[in-house]
Amino acid sequence: MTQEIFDKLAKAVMDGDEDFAKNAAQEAINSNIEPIDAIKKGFSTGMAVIGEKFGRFEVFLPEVMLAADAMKAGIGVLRPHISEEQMAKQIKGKVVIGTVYGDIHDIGKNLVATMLEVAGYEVYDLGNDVEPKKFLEKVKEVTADIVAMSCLLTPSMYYQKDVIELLKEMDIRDKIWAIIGGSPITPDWTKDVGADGWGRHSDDAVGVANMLMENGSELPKPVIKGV
Amino acid sequence: MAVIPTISKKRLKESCNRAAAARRGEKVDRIPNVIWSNGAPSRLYGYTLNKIMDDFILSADLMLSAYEAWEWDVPLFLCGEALQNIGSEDIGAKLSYREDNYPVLVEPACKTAEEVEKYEIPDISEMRKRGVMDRQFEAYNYTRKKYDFEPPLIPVTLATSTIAGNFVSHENLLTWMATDPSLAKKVHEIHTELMSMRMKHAIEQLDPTRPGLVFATDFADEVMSPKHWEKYVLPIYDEWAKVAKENGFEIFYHLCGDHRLVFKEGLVDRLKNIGVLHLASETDIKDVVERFGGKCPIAGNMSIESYRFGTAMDAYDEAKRQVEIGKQCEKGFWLVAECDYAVDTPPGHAYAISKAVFEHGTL
Repeated sequence: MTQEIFDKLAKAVMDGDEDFAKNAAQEAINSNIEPIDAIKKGFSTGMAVIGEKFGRFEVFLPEVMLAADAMKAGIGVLRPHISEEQMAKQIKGKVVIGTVYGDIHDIGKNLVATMLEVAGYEVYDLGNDVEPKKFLEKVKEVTADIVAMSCLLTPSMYYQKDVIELLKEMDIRDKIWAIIGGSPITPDWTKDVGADGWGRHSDDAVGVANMLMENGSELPKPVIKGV
Repeated sequence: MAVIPTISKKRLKESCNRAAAARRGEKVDRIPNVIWSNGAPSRLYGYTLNKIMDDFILSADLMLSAYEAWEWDVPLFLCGEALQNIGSEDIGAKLSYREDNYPVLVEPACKTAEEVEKYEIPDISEMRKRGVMDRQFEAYNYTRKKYDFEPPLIPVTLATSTIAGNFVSHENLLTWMATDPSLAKKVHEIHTELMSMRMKHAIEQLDPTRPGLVFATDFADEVMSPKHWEKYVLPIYDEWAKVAKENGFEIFYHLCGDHRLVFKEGLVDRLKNIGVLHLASETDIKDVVERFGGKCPIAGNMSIESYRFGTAMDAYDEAKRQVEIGKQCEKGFWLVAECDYAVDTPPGHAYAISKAVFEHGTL
């Protein structure tokens, strides 16, 4: 019975069906399933399948967006049943994310933010057109573990470097991982600006974040995924 | 401001003739270099991007001067409007202009399904007042007369799905594609009609010249499936190709971004009235030439990794590789970057590309 409900939760995400996700979440609560288990063994399983399919070009952005919306809707039902203490234990890390200054392209950034969130990160999305100092302010305010910067327009790429330089100036560069991405961003550029990680796709970004959070200090930088 | 050097009319004419002849599949002395860039020339001469996007005539002069300095052939004419999210203002979207960056969308024309239903297509004069398209033709005609040349290409409907996205927001467009296909279809139909009006107006302005009309799409693999591409993008191209053909124009298809799946599924084969085919660097130029080299002229696709982030030697090597492959094209080949040449590419790389064309592109 429990596995059946986990399967339903996963299916709701894979189908991108918000109503089904909410109903399945309610069914999990009614069946005394731990809400954290419902997320991990149900919704996250479904999202992982979607992420893998996305990486293999078997599903596409519209389907990923719907899956993420379904998962968020389902978590909304589960959330009141999870204590703050339990929630805190599940969080892998805090991420401040945004599209850099001068650029408002946010499809990729939103996707990465969503994927990180469903992967267990506490995500602070600053939106787009974010000035370097705004990244810094938020990083300090929430004591972030990762700052993630997206960019599509080539003239804006330099702001990724500016943020990293500001981290150095503020003497907190060694306390935070800086990851970057976006269509024109390459592994070479990642090295040039001194970032810690780069991923080609949104699921690669999650992989990079996980690797940095788990044993980043031992890895050669930058961590590159999805070349 | 920097002084703009003299532009050699003779050289420009030769370059244009070379590019045009290669496009017709005729024998030429060497592979033409038809990389396009407005941003890099502006930076070369110390102008901001905002300045050149406000002054297309200046932009044209700078571009042609830079091309002379780099010994490039002739550019796509004129990218200025493309950089302004071509057509987005025409359809009522609002852009934000930056001091030294490309303008970006701040507000779509419609935000809800109800607004799409109520949307009335503006007449062409209204679109002209809102938009920038006539400034492009003004600059085009000014430059043609001043330098006595016939540009081989002009952009007309760049960034097909971006503009459809700018019309209703990309989030809405993608969501509707998955949840409400008829609404997504309607958005694309409105977009097709709007851009067809634009294109007819462009054709009137261009007459009697017949540059290749640049059509571009930038939503493909990852963002949309081949099925979505077939359903939403292909009909737009069919309609525009028909209008272009009826008026004696050919099309430069610029398939920007990763189109490997679309290519693999055979959808590129269904494009009509191809003047030049240009796929971004994700699709290896060897594959493009193998499949289409005997059917239509091909544009190369030097990746940003090779010409911008590598060394000058990397840029040289990739240009060499591209022209060597391009020489196998029965129907002609242009050396082109995968998209707009990156603004901050070191100037030395631009000359390295020319050097490769001179040394290895001779036919």
